[in-house]
Amino acid sequence: MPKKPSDVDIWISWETEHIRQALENASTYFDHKDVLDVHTLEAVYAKESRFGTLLNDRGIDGAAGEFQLKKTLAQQYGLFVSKKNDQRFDIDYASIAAARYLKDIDYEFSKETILTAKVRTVPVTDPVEREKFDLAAYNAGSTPIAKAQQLAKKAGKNPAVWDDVKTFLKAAGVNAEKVTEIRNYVTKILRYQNEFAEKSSADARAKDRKLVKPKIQCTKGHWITKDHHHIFICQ
Amino acid sequence: MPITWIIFSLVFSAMIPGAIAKDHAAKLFGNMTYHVPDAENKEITLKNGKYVTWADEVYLDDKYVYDDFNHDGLKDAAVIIVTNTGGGGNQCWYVLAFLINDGKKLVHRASIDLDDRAEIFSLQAKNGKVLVTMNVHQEGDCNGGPSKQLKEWYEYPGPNVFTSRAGSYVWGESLEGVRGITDKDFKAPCIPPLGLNHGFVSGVIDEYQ
Repeated sequence: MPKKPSDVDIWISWETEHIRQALENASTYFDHKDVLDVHTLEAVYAKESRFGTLLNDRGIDGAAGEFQLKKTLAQQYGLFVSKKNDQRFDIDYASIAAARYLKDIDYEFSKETILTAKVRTVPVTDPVEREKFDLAAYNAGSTPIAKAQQLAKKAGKNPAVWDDVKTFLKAAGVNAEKVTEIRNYVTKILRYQNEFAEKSSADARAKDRKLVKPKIQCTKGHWITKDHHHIFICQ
Repeated sequence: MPITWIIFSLVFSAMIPGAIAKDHAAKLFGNMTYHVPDAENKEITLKNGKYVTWADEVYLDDKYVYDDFNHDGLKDAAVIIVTNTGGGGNQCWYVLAFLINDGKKLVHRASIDLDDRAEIFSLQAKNGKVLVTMNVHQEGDCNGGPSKQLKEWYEYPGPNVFTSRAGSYVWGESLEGVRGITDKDFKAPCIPPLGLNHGFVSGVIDEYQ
C-alpha cells in the first residue's frame, strides 16, 4: 500500500520554480550567524498560507498575504500596501519582507535589545535555540516572548532555553489560547523545516548568494490569479 | 435634492455596502475606549475605528448588534474588534466586545476572544444573546485559512470579564456536514484550488482602506 503523502510532500508539489527562486532569493537575508535558511521560509510559508493557496478575504489592516504580514509591518519592510496594490500578495516581495523580519527578530534575540522601557530581550547565543524564539516572535511579537524570558530568569530558569521560557508565557500576560498557538507554531515550523530540508529541492546554500531585487516595481495595475497565486500586473 | 442624485446615491450605496457598514460602525463605536488585556496600555481609545502604535494595533470591524445583554432594560451593543499586540508578530485576534449601556453611554465591559484570524461572517442578537457565524481554525489549517464553520451563541459574561471562546459559548454547533447550509450563511472557507474568486481581486479589501 503506497504511503500517504505528508503535508510537506503536498506543499513541495505546489512549489513552482518561481516560488522556489523567490524563497531562495529572500533567504539571502540570512547568514552564518543564524540557522535560518530557505527551508525555514518554506515552513513558515506553508504554515501561514499553505503556499499561498489559503488567503481568505480579510481586512487590509490585519495580517494578509503569502506570509500573513500585517499592514504596518509590511510597510516597515518597504512593501507597497494599498487597496489597489498589495505586495503582501506578491511572493517575490512578501518573502523578502518575511525573511527580513525574521532576521531582525533573530538579531533582537542574539543580543540584549531594549524593546520597551521595561522590556528587553535576553541574548540567546545558540543559533539553534534562538530560532525557536525567532519563530515565536514572528507569530506573537517580540515583547511577550522577552517578558517571558525575564520571568523565567527571575524564577531561576534559563531564559535562553525555549522549553524553559515557553512555560512563562501565560505569566507574561498572554492568554491560554495564544500560549497554545505560540507553542504549536514553534513546534510545527521546526518539524516542517526539517522535512523540507530532507525533501525539498530548494538550496539551503542560497543564503550565501547575493540578493536579486525583484524586477517588477510598479504601483498601478491590477491583480490576477494564476497557478493558485495572486499576481499584480503592472499597467 | 434632484431625484437623479438620490438614485445615484442609492445605487452607489448598494455597490459598497461593506464600506458603508465600516463607516457606520466607526461612527458609532470607533472612538470609544476598549480594554485590551494583552496591549501595552490595557485601555486603548480608538480614533475613527483604529488605534495604531509601534506595540499594538486595534481595529473596529464593521459588524455590530444591539440588544439588552445584561438584562437591565437598556439597549447595549456587541461589536467585533481586531487586536494585534506584542510589538509585532502576525496574530490578529477577533474579539467579541460587549458595550454595556450605563444609562448615559455605552462602555466596554467584557470581551470574548474568538480566534486568531477568525473569519466573522455575521452577528445576530436575540433574547440578550449574540449569534456569531464564523470560521475558526482546526487542526491542519494554515493561519490564513480557518476552515471550521461555526454558529455559536454567546452571552454577556459579566462585568470586567475578558475571556476566550473555549467554554464561553452558550450553545453552538460545528456546521461541517450539516445539510441546508447555503452560501448565504458562509462564503467559501478558503479560495478554491484554482483560486479564481479571491475577494481581494474583486475589491472586497477596499472597504478597509
